[in-house]
Amino acid sequence: MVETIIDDNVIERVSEIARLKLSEKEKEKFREEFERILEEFSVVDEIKVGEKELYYVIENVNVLRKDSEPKPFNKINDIKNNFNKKEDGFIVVPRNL
Amino acid sequence: MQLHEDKYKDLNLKIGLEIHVQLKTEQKIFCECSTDYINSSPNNNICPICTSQPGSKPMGVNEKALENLLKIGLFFGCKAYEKPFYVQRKHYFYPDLPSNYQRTSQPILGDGNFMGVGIWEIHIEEDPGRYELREGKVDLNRCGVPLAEIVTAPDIKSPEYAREFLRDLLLSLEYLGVIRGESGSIRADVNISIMGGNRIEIKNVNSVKGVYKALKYEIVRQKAVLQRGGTITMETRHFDEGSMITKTLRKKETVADYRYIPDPDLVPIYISPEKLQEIESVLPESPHNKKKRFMKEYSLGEEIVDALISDLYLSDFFEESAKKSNPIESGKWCATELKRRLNEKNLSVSTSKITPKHISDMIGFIERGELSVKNAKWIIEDAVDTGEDITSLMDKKNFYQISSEDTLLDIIEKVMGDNPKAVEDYKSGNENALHFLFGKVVNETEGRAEPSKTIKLLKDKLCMVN
Amino acid sequence: MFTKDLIEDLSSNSLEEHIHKKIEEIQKKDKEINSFITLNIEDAQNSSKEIQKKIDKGIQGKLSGLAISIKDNIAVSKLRMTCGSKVLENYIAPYDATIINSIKKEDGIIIGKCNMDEFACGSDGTSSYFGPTKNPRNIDYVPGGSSSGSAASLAAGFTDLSIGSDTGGSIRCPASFCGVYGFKPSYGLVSRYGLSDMAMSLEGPGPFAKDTYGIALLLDIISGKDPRDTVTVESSKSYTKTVENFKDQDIKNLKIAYAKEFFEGVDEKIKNIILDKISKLESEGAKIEEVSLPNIKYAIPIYYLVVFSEFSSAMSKFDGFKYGHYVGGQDIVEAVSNTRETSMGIEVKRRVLLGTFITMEEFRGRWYTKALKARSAIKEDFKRIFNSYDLLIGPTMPTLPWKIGERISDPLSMYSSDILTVSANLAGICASSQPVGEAKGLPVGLQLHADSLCESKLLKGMRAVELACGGI
Repeated sequence: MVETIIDDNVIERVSEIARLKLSEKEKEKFREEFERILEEFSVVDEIKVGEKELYYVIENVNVLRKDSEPKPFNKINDIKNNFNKKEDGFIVVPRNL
Repeated sequence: MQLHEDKYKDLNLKIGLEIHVQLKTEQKIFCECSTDYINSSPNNNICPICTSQPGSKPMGVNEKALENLLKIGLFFGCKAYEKPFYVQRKHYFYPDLPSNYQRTSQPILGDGNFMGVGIWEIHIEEDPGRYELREGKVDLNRCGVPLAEIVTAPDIKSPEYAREFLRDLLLSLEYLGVIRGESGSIRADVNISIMGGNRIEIKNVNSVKGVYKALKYEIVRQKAVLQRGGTITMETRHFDEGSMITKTLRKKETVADYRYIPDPDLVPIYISPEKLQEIESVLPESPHNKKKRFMKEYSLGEEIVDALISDLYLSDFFEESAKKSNPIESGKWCATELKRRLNEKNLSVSTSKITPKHISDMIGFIERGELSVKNAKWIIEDAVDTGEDITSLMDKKNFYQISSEDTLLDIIEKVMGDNPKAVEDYKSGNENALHFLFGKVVNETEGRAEPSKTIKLLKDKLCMVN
Repeated sequence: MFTKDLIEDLSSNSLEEHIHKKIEEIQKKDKEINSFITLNIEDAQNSSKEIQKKIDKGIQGKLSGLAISIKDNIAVSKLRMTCGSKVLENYIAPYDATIINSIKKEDGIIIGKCNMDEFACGSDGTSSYFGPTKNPRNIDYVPGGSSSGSAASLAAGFTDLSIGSDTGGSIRCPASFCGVYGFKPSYGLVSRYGLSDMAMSLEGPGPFAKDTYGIALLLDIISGKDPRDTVTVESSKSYTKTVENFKDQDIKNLKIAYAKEFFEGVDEKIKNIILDKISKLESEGAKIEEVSLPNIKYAIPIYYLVVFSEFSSAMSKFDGFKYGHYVGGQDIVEAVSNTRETSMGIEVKRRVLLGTFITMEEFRGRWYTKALKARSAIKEDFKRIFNSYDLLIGPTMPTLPWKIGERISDPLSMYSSDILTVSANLAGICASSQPVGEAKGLPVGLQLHADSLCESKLLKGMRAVELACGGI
């Protein structure tokens, strides 16, 4: 059994942090589903694990880059064309008063 | 050392700072865009990487940015951590942050000290862009400029010292040549607690003055809350540069969980002992070593030395002036009057017009009895402002002291003639009359009478009247 | 060798004609298959003219004008990149992925951008905002996912080669279901710059082809160190030679392991076909032994916990301001929440929410951190095996393709279909799928694994199987 209880409060917080608005129906559906998925996934507890997390499967370290003359990107307009709304070159977003 | 501490003693004030400075590089931290975001029209200093276009990945960390950060840490006496560090993703949604997470490294160095304030840790991160809240406009030109974040211990005990600390810290970083000069500003998050209250974090303070004002405001506010019997609960407040007050954030904005994860796109970084040695070898003398040397070499007191080394430009300036004058005198003048004037004018010796020769010349004039200590202060003020040489300032201000006995005697005789009652009083044993007459001589000479000589001559003359 | 012969034919026949035929096929049949989201017809036709001139002078690049379809989560400058989602319905990529640069340099002709599961979140090719892709072998069945359009466009003859991406089987699964060759390179061998993120520590782009030679050819072109992807490593770029130089008797030098765990719960018909191929290899001299991979049964939960965590982070960037679908709202919080709510599909939302949950302060230790610790156990399992063997052999998928719509409602049953493919990604090793037979008229794929950066061994194994199955 999963010890993590995903109550309505938690779902509410998750949806706020993830910036994903959910309807009451969706909240209930996801809550049930998540409990089921995580219960099944709790078999990972059976594995004998070491103390170290495996973040990278390759051995590369210290990939640094020399500072040099800037190389401006040559298709800035193609980036700007995707802006949702523009004004004087700025991206327009809601105000925050 | 912490000058204004007494004022806040009863409050048990504890102030800690998280200071962000832009590291000096040509290219941004993860891409090849220029760091000169200021001279570009909005959104014209961007590329797929710093705007987080779908599929783009960060390039390896700009090595120069990392080296500059190491310089800062080593200069403050920090030790680099031996373990490799990760660049992490700190998640929060904000329009100036294209990926909606900020790349920020784990601590790279720690456990240092500057001006008696502990440096807890230093790490590297990317600058976000700019979001004009009131207009709802976003410019991403600044995204990806490398930043160092310096986290201090809560060792600062007054807003005044916080201001002084920041000013001197910025000067040192500028001296090291590791930060972007023209932006001239810092950004800081300020932690403050007073006795009986919890820690308050003030975010988004954008200047040294702002830090001072925010702290002053918070002290008044928190004291008022506590006096009314209220409680200070832990919270994050926002500083408003316009009104110079702090405001509580709306609940919605405080629901945060940064969900740090090591960025899978950036492999770990390990700082080798060789690298540290290489950096250390090109570093200027550390404040700690400089302090020891100044006390020994110049026989200066600790308080004077602390004031000198907190500003490396000033400590160089002092050493230069001490070559041609008495170091004890020079140290005293640099650490007190000069530093006070520079702070007042928000200048450094590197940006003001005064030169080491001003100080050594000035000390010469004082030693020869040609300049009074009182007037010397005015000389410093003028030299800072105009840079004119001492001789012409002396002339202009008419500061040459009158030390000629003949001239002084003439004036003394005139004063005695004008004030027969005072002369009588002195003769009948009233010592105050001597001071009265001395004052008259000083007035008569517009303060230029050399004091010890004047007193001696006055006494002699009064005795002769007998 | 099919692809090699094709290139040779093109040097004497008309390239324009070849490309024209592909376009005709697409226009005739892709309405039904739905393997493309965006076509690049005009550009492809122009390129074919340009490259024809080069061929005439004998200065053409290695790809010599072959048609290539690209999964729609890989950036091709000036072309729409949707990632199969409403989120990016109108997004025009402002840059080329590193591998696209390389392909263009070698005169590959990009014929279009392929349909896929939304943001690569799916195993059967049905979760695209642009409608499900259908299996060219039988349009009632799923083509496999998430690189559904890549495999389907190749199987349907719309293209000569294709590029997909593999996070937990997204190349191998559709290759198996559609009956083509698919290859998941070792983590770090091929640049990910320009590949839209699903789970960054697991994935990378990789080739689809009609034969081993085609795989090696693309691998030579797209592999190698890239300053724009810090996880990349140098490549020998001699894969085509490895395949060309392979002789029948080289099979005798191969030490191949098979793990019983890779056959548990696998459809009997698939099991029999794979075991038959294993016997074939053995009879031709390969050394075959049974081994055990005790931690494979935990691969699915470990894999999905890592995917959720990284995916929720990767998806943060979609707020509608800089690019992508935008709904708006009164303030910045509402604007972003509304935008994300109305543009993301159900499986994407599910993963974003779960990933957010398991990386939150109070739950991360229980899920995220634990999964990463367990991930080392999987890596260790493979390390042990590759100390003694060149290859690990088994089926690619536990079942045959299912009918469209059959598994949509239950996420756990969808996840379970990845059981045989996710381990390679967890360990960062290379793996392939190639067609070795049919059951009920549907293709069956054989999967090979080799150790990290041992692509040459894997290609030899693929070639051995190809020859054992009567390939030329």
